[in-house]
Amino acid sequence: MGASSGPRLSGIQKQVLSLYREFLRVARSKSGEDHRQIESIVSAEFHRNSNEIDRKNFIYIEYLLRRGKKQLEQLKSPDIVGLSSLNVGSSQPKKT
Amino acid sequence: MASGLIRRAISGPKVAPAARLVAMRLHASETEAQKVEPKVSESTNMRKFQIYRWNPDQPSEKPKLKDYEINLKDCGPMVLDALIKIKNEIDPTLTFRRSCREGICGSCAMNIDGCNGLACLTKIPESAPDTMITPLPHMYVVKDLVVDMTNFYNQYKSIEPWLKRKSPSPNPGKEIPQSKKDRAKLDGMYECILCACCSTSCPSYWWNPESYLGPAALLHANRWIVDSRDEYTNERLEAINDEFKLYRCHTILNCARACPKGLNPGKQIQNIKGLQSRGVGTNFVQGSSRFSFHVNTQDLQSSQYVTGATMTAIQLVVTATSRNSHLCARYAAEKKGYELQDKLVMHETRNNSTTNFLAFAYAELMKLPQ
Amino acid sequence: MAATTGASTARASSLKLAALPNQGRSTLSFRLCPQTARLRVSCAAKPETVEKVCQIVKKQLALPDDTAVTGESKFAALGADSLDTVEIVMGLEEEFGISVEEDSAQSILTVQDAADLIEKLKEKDDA
Repeated sequence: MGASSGPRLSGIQKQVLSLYREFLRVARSKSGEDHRQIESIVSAEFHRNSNEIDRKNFIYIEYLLRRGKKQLEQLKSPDIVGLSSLNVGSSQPKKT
Repeated sequence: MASGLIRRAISGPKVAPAARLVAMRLHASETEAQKVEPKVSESTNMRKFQIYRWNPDQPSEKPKLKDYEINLKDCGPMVLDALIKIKNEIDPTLTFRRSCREGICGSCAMNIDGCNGLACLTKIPESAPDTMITPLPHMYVVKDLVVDMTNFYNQYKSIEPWLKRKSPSPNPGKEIPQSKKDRAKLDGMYECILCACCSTSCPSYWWNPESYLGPAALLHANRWIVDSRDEYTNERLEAINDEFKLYRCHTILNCARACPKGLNPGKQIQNIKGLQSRGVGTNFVQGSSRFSFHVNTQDLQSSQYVTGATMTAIQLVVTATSRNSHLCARYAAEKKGYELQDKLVMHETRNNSTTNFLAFAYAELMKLPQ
Repeated sequence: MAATTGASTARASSLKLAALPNQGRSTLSFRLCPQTARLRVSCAAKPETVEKVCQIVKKQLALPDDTAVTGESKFAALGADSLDTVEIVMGLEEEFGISVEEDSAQSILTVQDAADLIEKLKEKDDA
């Protein structure tokens, strides 16, 4: 197939893309306004992580994958209509 | 080696226990050894805890063991007391699950000095120089000592841990009665609190955490199989009759060793295996017609079938795709009074011909003259 | 603020630099060139499909109207990463009312690939 001509994706990359696709699919099943909101939150989260995370930090990426899968499961439920994100300031006092 | 000897020479003659400590742990740093020395007195009993730390909110930091030193003289006797003291007084970011502090909720399961157990039921070891606390082994870490139990709970869910009835209740709207004897059969199982100490100590579970159900889930499977009020015993046995779900248990018995409630999951798994080997639970034994409809010629060729009409004892060589079909063939043969020369070949890749083969073996045996 | 924009433009330009040798290699490559040619010959998608795909790609990537997007345009060259590609494929699914499987979705690299796949899937639906 054409896969050979494409960029070689690692297993974990494929998992991330597949998760992203699943999220976007689930977003479609929700109603108009919420659909767009879910899409924008999910898209922002994935793009932010793709830029910020060290691509070799597998422990963290796998952790996010598992967390994402759980959130996806929740989102799949027909009882869930929307998604919102709360930004807790990262400037919290940290103990060093 | 040499540096160890030197160190022993420095601190050895003065305080004996500290010297032993240093000699035992050659990798301990020089400063550490000096720190321990003055603190050995009567009013304080300092103890070091090495605790696994990992925080997903700081992704650039790798998991590490962090040292905490607390005075055991003003701390409760259990590991959980020490953890709470550390969280309260030294590091509020330390994260762990706990609730009942008396071994009934199963929240504080963790690995303490290499052994799985509940922190609330494990005493702080008296003799050891320090105590190492890590999350349950081979589990995904959510944060510090908190692990992801999703898979474990899903496996528990998969055995359908609730009472299932075919006939209506004898007293509608009321409980279903059970004799004292039948109730006693549940002892050693109902006490399980699903802390996951057993499953996460099992090497088989480590290698096949997704496909092997693990001691905890299987113990509960047996709990419902044995329950006199449950009427789905056969279906339950059939559902877990699987090369991976059940038969990855190789009676290593780490589960019994780890269980903080003193249960023996290995024994309960053995009971399930025993019931299956006796053919209890297979529709075959009940004479269900389900199997006789599925004779497939492909299985005729794929299974090595040897029969001799001239032989006094009929020999049937069975190449079974699962333990169950093998056992059923044997059961059928015994029932008809034949001698069965069996050869069990386990296929790692299971296929769906089990039922077909079973039907075939049964049909063939029934055709043979008695 | 100025520092961050500076950094991001620097990153963007370094990306472009990285893309240039890629393009250079693709002209030398014996594998890539005949393949696109063959694809075009064997199952050339209708021009209107290609045009529609181009529109969607532009919309998804928020490209200015005057950006040239043609059949041979590679998503990567237009500045799309793998996540954007997923979004494009999802957008195409919605627009054309098709469903692209995981494996085929990952083999889509150019506008032409996408258009060809869409025609193929639509044919299947009609049949």
